[in-house]
Parts: sequence; C-alpha cells; structure tokens
Amino acid sequence: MATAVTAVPWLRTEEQDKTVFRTCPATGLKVDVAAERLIIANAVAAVVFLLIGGVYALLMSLTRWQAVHLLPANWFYRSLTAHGFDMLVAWIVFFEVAGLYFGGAIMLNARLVQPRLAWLAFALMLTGALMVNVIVLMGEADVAFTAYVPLKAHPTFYLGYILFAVGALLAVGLFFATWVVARAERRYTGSVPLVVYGLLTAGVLAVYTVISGAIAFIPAFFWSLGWMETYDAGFYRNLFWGFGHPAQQVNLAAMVSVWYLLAAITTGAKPLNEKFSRLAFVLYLLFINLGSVHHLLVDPGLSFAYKVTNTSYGMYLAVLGSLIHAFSIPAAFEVALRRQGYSRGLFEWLRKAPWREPGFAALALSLILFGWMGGVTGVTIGTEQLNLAVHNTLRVPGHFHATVVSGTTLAFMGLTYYVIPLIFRRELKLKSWATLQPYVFGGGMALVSIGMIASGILGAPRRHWDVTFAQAPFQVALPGTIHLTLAIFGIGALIAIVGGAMYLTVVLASVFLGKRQEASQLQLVVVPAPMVAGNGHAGEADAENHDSGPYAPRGTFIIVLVFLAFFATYYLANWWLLGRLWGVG
Amino acid sequence: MDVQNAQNAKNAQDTPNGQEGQLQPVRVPLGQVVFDEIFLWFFLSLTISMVIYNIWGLMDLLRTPVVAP
Repeated sequence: MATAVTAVPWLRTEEQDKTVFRTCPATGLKVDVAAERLIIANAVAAVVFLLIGGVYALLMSLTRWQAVHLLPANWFYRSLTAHGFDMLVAWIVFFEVAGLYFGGAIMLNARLVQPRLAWLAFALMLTGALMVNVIVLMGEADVAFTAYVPLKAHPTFYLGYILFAVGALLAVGLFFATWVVARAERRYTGSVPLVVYGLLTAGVLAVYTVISGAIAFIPAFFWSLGWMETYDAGFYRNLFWGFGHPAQQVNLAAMVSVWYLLAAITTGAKPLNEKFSRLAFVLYLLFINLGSVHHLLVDPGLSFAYKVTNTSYGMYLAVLGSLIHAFSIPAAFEVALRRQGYSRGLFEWLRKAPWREPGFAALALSLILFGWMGGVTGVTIGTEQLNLAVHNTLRVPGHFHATVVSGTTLAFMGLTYYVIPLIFRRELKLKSWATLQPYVFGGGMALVSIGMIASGILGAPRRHWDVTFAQAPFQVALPGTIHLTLAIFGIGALIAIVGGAMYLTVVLASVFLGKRQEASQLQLVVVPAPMVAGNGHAGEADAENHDSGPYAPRGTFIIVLVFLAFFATYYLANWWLLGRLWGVG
Repeated sequence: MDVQNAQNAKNAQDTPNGQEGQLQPVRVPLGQVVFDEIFLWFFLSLTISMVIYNIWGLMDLLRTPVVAP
C-alpha cells in the first residue's frame, strides 16, 4: 500500500511518489518494499558466500591439523586465498550492506533513494566476488588474501576486487544519501537512534576502507597486466592494510550496532548513557584506522615513531571506545533484567537471562569471545616489542578469528534469526536448533582461537601449509605439545563447522519451507517479563536509578574488574615470555 | 540537529502514537549537536587516517636509502 509522504518541494520526485511502504506489525516501522528486496538479496548473497567460505574453512582446518594434513600444498594456498576473500570480504560486506539499507531506510521510516543504483551496486559486488572465486579456483591466484607484492595473480583477481570495491562504495554512498534525504523529509525527529549512529560510523570507516582498497589494487591490476614494470612491496603493504584492517573496523562498528540492537530486542535494554556510547563511536571514527600499522610492525623502513604513534597512542583511544561499549552493553541488559524483577544479589539477572533466546545467546557469546579473546590478544599484538614474538605466527589468526568470526559473524548469525520473520516474513523453522546453534558455533570457535594462539606461542607459523615443518629439509625444534594444541584447533574447527551448518540449515529451512506470515512479536523463544518499575527509557530519572539502588549494574561492574585483571595478567605474561625468548649477555 | 527536530523528538516521546503535540522550545545540548555532525567526523576520520597512517608511512618509505644492486 502506498502511504503519503511529507512534502519537501525540492526533494519531491517521481521516485518519491512511487515509494511503496508496508507497516511492520511487530515493530510499527514503515518498511520501504524496494529496500526490503535489496536487504533480502544482499543477505542471501552473504549466506551463500559464508557457505563457500565454510567449505574452504573445513579443508584448511583439516590441513593445518597435522595429524590429518588433508590438502596438498597448492590446494592449501588456493583455499587460503578463497577462504580469506569469501569470509573477510564477501560474507561480511554483503551482510553489512543489508544492514546499512536496514538502518538507513527501515529504522528511520524512510525510503531508500535510487533503488536501481542499489541493484547496480549489488551486481558489481556479485560479479567481482564471482570473478575472484573463479580465478582462484582455476589456480591463477594462489597469493593468499593479502596478495602481497611481488606475488602476482591473474589480472582478473585484482579486477574482481576492484569491481567489488566500486559496488560497495556505491552502496555506502546510497546509505548516506538515504540518511540525508530521510532527515530532509523529516522521516525521523531528533538524533538518529544509537544503532543507526553506529551504522553511520561503519559507513564512514567503509569509505576510507574502500578508497584504500582501490588505491592498492588498481596499480596491482596494471602491474599484473604488464603496464607497470614494478610495484614497491612497502608501498603496497601500506596501501593494502589501509584496506585490510579498516575492513575489520567496519565489522567492529557494525557488530557493536548489532549488539545494541540484539540487547534491545531480547531483553528490552536501553543504552545507559547515549552520550558515552556515541563518544565511543566517535573514538572509533577518529582513531581506529591507525591500528592498521599492527601489520607493519616488523617492516623495515618505517620509523619507530610512526609505529608507536599509530599502534599505541592513537590506537589506545579507540580501545577506550571498545571498553565503553564493553561496559555499557552488558550494563544495559543487566539494568533491563533487574527491572524485570531479577534484582537479588549480584548475579541473579545473569542466571535468569534469556539464554534460550538465540539473539541473546549470540550477543553474550559474541561479547565474551570478542572482548576476552579478540580484544585482549589484539592490544597485546599491537605492542611493538611484543609483536616481535607474535608476528607471522598462528597467534595472529587466533586473534582475528576471535574478533571477526566469534565476534562479528556470531553476532550477524544471531541477528539473522530476527531478520527472517521481520524482513523475509517467514516463520523461523527449527527454533530448538537456533537456540543451540550460538553455543555450538561459539564453543567451537573458542577452541579454534585457543588452539591457534597456543600453537603460535609454541612457534607455529601462519599462512603455511606445513605448520610444524615436518617435511622441511632442516630440523626445527618445536615442542611435541604443538600436536595437542593443533588438535584442540582442529576439533574446535569441526565443532564450529557443525555450528555453521546448523545456522545454514535453519536459514535455508526457514526461507524455503517456512510459512509465509507477518511477525507478531520481536522475540523468537523467550518473551521478556514486564518491567516492574519505570519503563526503561534512558532518561535522566533512569540515569539516577542506575547509579544506585536495586537497578544499578553492580554485577557488570564486578565482571569488568575481573576482565581488567585478566587483561593485565595476559599482557604482563607476554612481557615475561618476551624476556625469555632470547638470552642476553 | 536543529531546535525544531528536538521539539519534535520530545513531543514524539511524550504523545501517544508519536502524534505531534504542543511544541515546547527545547535547547539542544551542545554535545548532541556536535555528535550529530556526521560529516565533520567523516572529514576528521579521513584526514587523521590518511595523514597519520598513509602519508607518514609512505614518507618514511621514501626516506629509506636504496641499496645499489
């Protein structure tokens, strides 16, 4: 049904008049049907690439696990390249584009501007992703995700990346245009919701990321065609990591936005202090891209001042942003649960939390695994001196599997279960599987990261087919316990792949076999109890209640103190280990 | 965000079904005005990243002495 739109003369276009909205009965939001179709298309593409990337993950895990050592060397590097692209770029970015259209159009009750251009963006991204996958499968681009110069791939590989980047940049531009038009048409009042603010942060970070990717890959494309004789490896690494690492910061901002959304959906939580949460996003905007130098800490030619300024002084301000979110999100759902009557002692709210609700389980596990494993190891790796003992070992993928997979992917999986009834308008099938899935996937990924980090500490290299050098012509003194840590990694990978398969089964069963129906409520399994006092709005009066009294988040405060103690212990233990790496004197 | 929007935001919260009620003047806190300036943060984000990460790094590389083959 078409609904009337606010008249803004200079914006009144034929397209605006044709915009068709439906009203979501569960949220009351007006849904632009064109935006809805694009969200579905991008989400489906994301899940397809997750499936492809997951198959490569299985093959690689069974190769790195030396007791199995499945693939020959060339297929290992081929899988490494495709897995990196499909998971770090295709799955995540397609899902984020769906998220941007959701945040820009639907959460603001607005229309998506220029849906035809959005379809063009989708086509460019899909074409680029397919080109990369095909050329890698053909064995013409065994250069890993990073494609470090002087490793040279077929020109199609670089062209695929460039097309994907152009499509993604177009999608991000449309998201910003949608927000600007929504504001001009008074589709919303006041400031944008915090979730949309987080998505705007992700959008800004994405612009820098995509521009950097284009600057890195266009010369590489010319070089692969023979139009450029040489391409300086140092220059490439600087430019590539302006793309590679910020791409994960886009994930971070999008994931934190999803955390706030899942907390609201599953517990009725409201941000405790919007100013601090927004300040944390601003800290990301200003400083988080400087973390890219983590990858260049052992590179020659770069000054100590450059390395330390970027990875320490600048980066720590962004870490402060993450610490703000890490406190404010659990505190928000603690307050919400205490308001529902679970206010006895320090942790009754935690025991009575909706652990059977898939979105809450995904949120809680994503928060824990991202913060305790990904965040702590990331800050440690980012210290220049400690990086000497970590660089190019399996500890690095151990870290980023905790952030990108246990954190971002798990949060996105949790959100998918709510997208199916709200956007696909299908009944969610296999709800008991959906309840169990975050635990299986999160548990498996925790073992993956622990196994990789422990193997890295023992000396196993990253990006290597033979991580114990068993077939090397020289002797490498790696301790025998490395087989135990690699087995932990391998078993964890198998469990995580089962969790991934459960996710895909629930999604596919719901989309293809689920009854077509309108969602009547947000929650899937556990409906929150009504608030026993107040309405949970984050106004000034509530802020006073949070400072003391039965609703104060005292449990979260204790958990945060334990987290900081763990953080300090892990960090100092790494200095202790560094001191024992080489004998001095 | 302008004052009009703030008025609307408050009234949308205060009235059922988001219907606009009697508009009351509301002064928007400076911090909120600054936070809402997304394009300011956009500019600063790009500038800081490009100057401190890209340009400084590339300048360091350009200053590296070249070893004769």
